[in-house]
Amino acid sequence: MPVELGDEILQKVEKPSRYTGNEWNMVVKDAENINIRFAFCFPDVYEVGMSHLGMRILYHLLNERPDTYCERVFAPWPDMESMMRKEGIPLFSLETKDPVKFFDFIGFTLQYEMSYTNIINMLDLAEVPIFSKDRTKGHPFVCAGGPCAYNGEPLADFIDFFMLGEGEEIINEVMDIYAQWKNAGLSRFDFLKMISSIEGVYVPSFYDVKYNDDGTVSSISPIYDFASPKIKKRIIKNLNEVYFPDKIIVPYNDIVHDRIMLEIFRGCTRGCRFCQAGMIYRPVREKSWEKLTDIASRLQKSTGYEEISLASLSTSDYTQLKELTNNLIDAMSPKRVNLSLPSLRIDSFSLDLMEKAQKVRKSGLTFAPEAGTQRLRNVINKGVTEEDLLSSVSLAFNGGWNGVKLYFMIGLPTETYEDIEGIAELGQKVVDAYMSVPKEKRAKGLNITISTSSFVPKPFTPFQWEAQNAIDLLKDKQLFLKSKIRSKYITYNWHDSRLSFLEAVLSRGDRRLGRLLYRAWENGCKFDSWGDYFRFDLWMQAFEDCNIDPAFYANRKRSFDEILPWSHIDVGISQKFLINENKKAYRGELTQNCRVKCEACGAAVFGGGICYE
Amino acid sequence: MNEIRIRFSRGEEVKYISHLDLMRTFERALRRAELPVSYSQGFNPHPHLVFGLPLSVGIASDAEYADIAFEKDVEPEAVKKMLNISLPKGLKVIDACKKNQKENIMAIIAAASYNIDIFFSESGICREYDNIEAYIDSKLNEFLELNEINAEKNVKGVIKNIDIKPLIIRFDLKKVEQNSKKSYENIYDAASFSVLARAGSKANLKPDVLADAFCKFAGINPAYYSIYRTGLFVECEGKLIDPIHACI
Repeated sequence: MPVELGDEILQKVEKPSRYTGNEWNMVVKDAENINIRFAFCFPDVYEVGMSHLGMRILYHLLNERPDTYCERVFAPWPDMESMMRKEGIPLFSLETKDPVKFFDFIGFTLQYEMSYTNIINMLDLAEVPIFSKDRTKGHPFVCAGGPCAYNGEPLADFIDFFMLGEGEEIINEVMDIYAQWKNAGLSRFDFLKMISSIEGVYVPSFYDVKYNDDGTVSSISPIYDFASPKIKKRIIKNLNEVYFPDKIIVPYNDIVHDRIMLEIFRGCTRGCRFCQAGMIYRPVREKSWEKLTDIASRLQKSTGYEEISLASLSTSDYTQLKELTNNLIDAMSPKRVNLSLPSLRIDSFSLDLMEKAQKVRKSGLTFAPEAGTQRLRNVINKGVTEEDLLSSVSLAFNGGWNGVKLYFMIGLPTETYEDIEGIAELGQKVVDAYMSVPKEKRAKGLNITISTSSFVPKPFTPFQWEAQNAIDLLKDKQLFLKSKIRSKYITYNWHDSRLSFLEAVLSRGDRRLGRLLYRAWENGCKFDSWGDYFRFDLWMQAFEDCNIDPAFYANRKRSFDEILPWSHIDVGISQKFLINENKKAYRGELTQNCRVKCEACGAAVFGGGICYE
Repeated sequence: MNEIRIRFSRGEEVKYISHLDLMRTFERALRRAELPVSYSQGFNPHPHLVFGLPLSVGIASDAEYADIAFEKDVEPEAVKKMLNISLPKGLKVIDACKKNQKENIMAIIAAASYNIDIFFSESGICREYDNIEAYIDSKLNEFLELNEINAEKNVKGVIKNIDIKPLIIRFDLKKVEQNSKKSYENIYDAASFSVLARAGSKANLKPDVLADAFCKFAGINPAYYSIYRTGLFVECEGKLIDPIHACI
């Protein structure tokens, strides 16, 4: 029975079309004649969740199966939530409006740590037991995937199983086994046991974690013989053969990324030492420009979208960028479809391309030097020099651009106040580069933005052992930088260091943080990544209530021989490589881009991609 | 310029999308339909597409109108057919004709008609009257006999007092139904009205503004309204007529 959403409910909430579905290309099936019902949950509001490419792919992929109906669920905004709680409306799907508690699966995608409280809140709204141990026959299985699933330990109490790595194959394998299991009338335990043999499936309740007196992990071991001691992530070897939908949903609402997104490759060759995405998505695998042009034209026909963008970790590294962009522009401009380009490495080719592709004002160019001095850029293996940056901005200013955004991180390992001052100096040099362009050649209204985020050490990176700077130190560094920026052309923005602190706790957390998450949610935390709802005081209260020291997780330097909470997860990158990279960082030594020289990170084990080109 | 006027409905499925969302939806539907729409010049070309009168979020209608300009000669029936293949469920083109008038639809709309259902719970109206229908009916008569009907209008966040009396052409009570709707724990009574009022760019009466004014006058504390637009009209020789007929 669907929930009823009449005028008396929808008139009283902001943006009611977040809850009404019925968008173009929404999949409609007869739920009565479906064996497997899958609720694909994004633990954030509609406009954010619908912008996520992975969800758009997996939704259609699951719906290709005649036995399965995949429906979408987003976190209701707090105004809708209180309406639902008041009237007793359980969490429902957008497609059929059926309560998700009657589904076979509730699947969450984990894109960022600060969405975890929303997961608990959504389970509660769904009227599904929040803790895995309390779910019995008749309850859905709660599963999760996405980048944060690689260390999903803080969610181990709530999630029945994780799917690690790229989802296109593994999710079908799980559904196949579910169909068998459902017919056989076996127990929940049996199902989890059956899928635990699928590579990439991680059932946290099959493992026991023990701790030392000092709070560090002493062992992580399977409780059952059939559970593998190591769980290896899944990848798709050949991206030209992988499923990609011909249709995607076209929302009514103005979502964050309201356009066709073309994923041009997975992985990244650069090896920046702070970057988790650059490690966990290895090896690099490209889609051919022919395949992409074909996908683009089919999607354009089926959606009517007026814009196409390219998605990847580093677009300039795509080896067929020229062929792709030339062909896309030729195919799309007669249809008045724009190509929107992400930040590109600036050279004459890319400036030319931007001129051709985007008929927009020449305002914002984005650069991410990440650190203010060459010394620190070498530490993090950001292979960009000051000369690179300055010649790029000069080229852009000469070409009529007048806006530059510069992204940096503060709190990086080995950082000194000189490195921070270097950020201000680099900003000033960009101003100087603009001034040295003759007045008649440059565009008026120079506008430079410097943004700093705070370094969050992440699992599976060479910096996974590092301590994060304490909040006060980060704040002091922000103020210091602010005092060093003097040009009126430069605006300085910084991220809330309290949020980065909590991210650092959760991203390297262990199972003991499940209690904390539950407590934070009980205290009222939700939508933590939304400034209006972020309640640091309630989080700190939760740490106190649970007697957990957040600094143990965020601000403590680990030794190389410590057993990390994610050490039973194998993303294909060897411990040896990560330790070596960490040591090289301290020596300020660079590691080459994988395309130039293989450093044997371990990703070749997957048998595909750049490792075999 | 080759222009087509369409009449379309906006059903329950899509009544909660905003006017901006509706415009985007039509732009994308026109692309999917691969119709030779004429576009504006400039940085961000937009199709030449004009809607009659924006509809507030939450109101369904079977009398929406739009003028669409094309680069080539297209038949109204073909536009109707192609658009209906390309529009999402809930939006449907009912009629299409060649537009011969000079002014666009937005400039000539003169009146609109609505059905308004006012829902209220037991506590929402003074129950000392045995016959609620007779009570509301008498209040409506008094209301319409006022020399001036003051209503509050929200103009960009500022509450303004306006006299809406000259904007009301007809305002009739159709019926009153007790226990008309049950939603979760709540049971509502409903009073249904039909309205014909001035509309368009010169003078416009929004149905919820009228409903608010009447409820305030009659001492009704409404829970919510359900509103449906039943017609949009242009004026032709002193008569209000369907904009599609004004085309011919």
